[in-house]
Amino acid sequence: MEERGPDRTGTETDPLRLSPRVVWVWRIPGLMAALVVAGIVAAMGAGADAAGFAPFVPALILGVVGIGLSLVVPTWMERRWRYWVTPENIEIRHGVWTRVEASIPHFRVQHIDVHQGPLQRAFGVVELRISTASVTADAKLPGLTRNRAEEVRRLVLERAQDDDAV
Amino acid sequence: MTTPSDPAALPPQAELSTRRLHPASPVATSAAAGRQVLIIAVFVMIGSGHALLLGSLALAFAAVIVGIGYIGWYRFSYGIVDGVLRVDQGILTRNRREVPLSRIQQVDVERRLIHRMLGLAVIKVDTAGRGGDDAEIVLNALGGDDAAALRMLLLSRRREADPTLMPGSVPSPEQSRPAPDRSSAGAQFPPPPPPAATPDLVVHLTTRQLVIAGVTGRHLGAVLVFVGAVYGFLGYLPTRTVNSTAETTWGWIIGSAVLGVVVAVVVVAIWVVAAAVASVVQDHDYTLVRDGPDLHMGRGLLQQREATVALHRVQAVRITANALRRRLGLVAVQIQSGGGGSQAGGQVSKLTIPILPIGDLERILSLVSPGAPADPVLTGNPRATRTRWRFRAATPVVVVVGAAAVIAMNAVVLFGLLGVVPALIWADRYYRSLGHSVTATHVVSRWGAVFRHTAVMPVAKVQGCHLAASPFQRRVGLATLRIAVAGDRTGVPVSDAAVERLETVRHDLLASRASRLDEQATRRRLAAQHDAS
Repeated sequence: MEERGPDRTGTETDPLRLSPRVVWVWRIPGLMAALVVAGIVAAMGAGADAAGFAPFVPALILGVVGIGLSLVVPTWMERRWRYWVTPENIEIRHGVWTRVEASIPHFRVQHIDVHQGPLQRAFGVVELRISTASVTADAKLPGLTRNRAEEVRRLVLERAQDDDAV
Repeated sequence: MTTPSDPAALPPQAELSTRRLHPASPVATSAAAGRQVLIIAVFVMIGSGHALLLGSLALAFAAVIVGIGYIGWYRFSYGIVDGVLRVDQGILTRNRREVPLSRIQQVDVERRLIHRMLGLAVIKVDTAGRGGDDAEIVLNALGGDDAAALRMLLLSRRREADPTLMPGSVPSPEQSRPAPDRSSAGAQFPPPPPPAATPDLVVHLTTRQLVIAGVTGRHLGAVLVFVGAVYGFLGYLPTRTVNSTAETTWGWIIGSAVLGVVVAVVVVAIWVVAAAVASVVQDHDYTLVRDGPDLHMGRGLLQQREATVALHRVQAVRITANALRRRLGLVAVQIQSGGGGSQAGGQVSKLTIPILPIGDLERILSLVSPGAPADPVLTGNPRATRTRWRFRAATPVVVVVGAAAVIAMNAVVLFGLLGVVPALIWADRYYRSLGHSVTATHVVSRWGAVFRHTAVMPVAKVQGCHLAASPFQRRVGLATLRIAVAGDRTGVPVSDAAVERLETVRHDLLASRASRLDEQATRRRLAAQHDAS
């Protein structure tokens, strides 16, 4: 058995967090969307007859608000995303507006997938998707480093299989 | 439970030589599309007057569709090899789908009108897949007798391969072995094995019950379009008559009033009759039967459907009743089994009893979900929930009326604020309907003021739960718990209950030993089936 440190499972008071790089994975699509929408509104304004800067004001406001939200909200999201592995379940807490607490018992886990889109690859993070027999009970951990993702996956699957022996 | 280890006792491998669907299948599959094209073509032909040209064009188009259908038919084959149902299809890209017989959850036989005219039937197989479309197989279409035999074959093989199913009623291998004609094994459909025990009748619906179901239920909504179309075609007649025959203003007013009442009565009568007819046609001769470890359901007048669900796969039972049905003491029951794919229209994993007297509910529950409380005492919700729902009901009314008043610049519109009163009454009703209960074996959740839903789930089947709280809920200490069972898309909500209470419920559900045993039993069963097949 290879040398590795004690598995970090986290606890409720000291939970595990996502990788900080996930913030940029979330920011970039938001920024692009804000710029596109502001651009469209600006184009609509340019088509209007009024002179001066007036037709561009809505686009400017939208752009500023959009960019501001895209920069700030992902930070909040990352701050609120926490998880830990107990001997019984995996617990995940996330959500800025609507706060969600999800618990999946280890023995219900059917399989765990590691997913990485192009943006995630650019920032070196992966998404862990935990699947049960019900689509509603599934959970995901976006933005983990690959090492940590493998660690969590191994932890959960080990415990899921241990249960069968009981 | 162990699989039989004596080789002589193992059932022979399921075999069915690879074959094509019935030759008339493309006609049946293209019938639906063809019908729509035909309707459009008829309208266009009548409208434009180039009847001959368009008619021949339409016929040529239909021939092309059927031709493509035949190419698809030629490239479609199915068979059972080594206990696995294999389907190969595809004209350009070949697609092979394999389903071990042991994974089959539900087998439906469906006959639309075109199928009955041609003597065919459709077989839909739903498996224990996770809701992906690759977990279902649709065989459209086989000859009627072949379809029945295939269904029995699929189900009987599953039963034999799974000795843990129902200890008492599994037929011994000798009884259920098909005719021992080894030379032609697999070439013909083997005769169906004799049933283990006589099936018990669970529910049978008479036409009278179906008429009541139609008149009190969702068929009313479904036929509204039809009624609207009828009114659209003929509704102008009465007003035209009055306008042309009335000689004085008074005569016109009285005539319009009288005719208005007559028209209303006629339209409502047509509406009610259409709903009753729709219900009878859909669910004619509804029969629910328990046959060993399975539930069989058969229904339908023009389009016939038969479904089979294994009892141990039942995940949740949903009981619905609108306000009218509650007054009449009737409910509708939906039995949900673990399977959730969408290709078969989502029908395959749900078994619905369209109407049931509420007194029969206990019997049904004890059959499909033993230990389920028939009339549980439900825990209510705190005052904050009532305030929240009052707010949620009144605010849209105020906002809409206010906006309308501003847009119309008319203060009279503000009288619409009176609409807040029924909204608040509805909110109070909704608050009183919310309730939940957790017993040792089951969890029950209820919601709905006008359309009331009650969901009953065995604790052992709960896959996981989510607790979610919006800022408004957090402010008053409320949250919503969503409970998930296998094959479910939306989960069962326990809405707007106190957070501490929901934390307790969540903890009880997750820590339940029954869940763990259920999952182990399911996995052991699947492993045993893999070994046996």
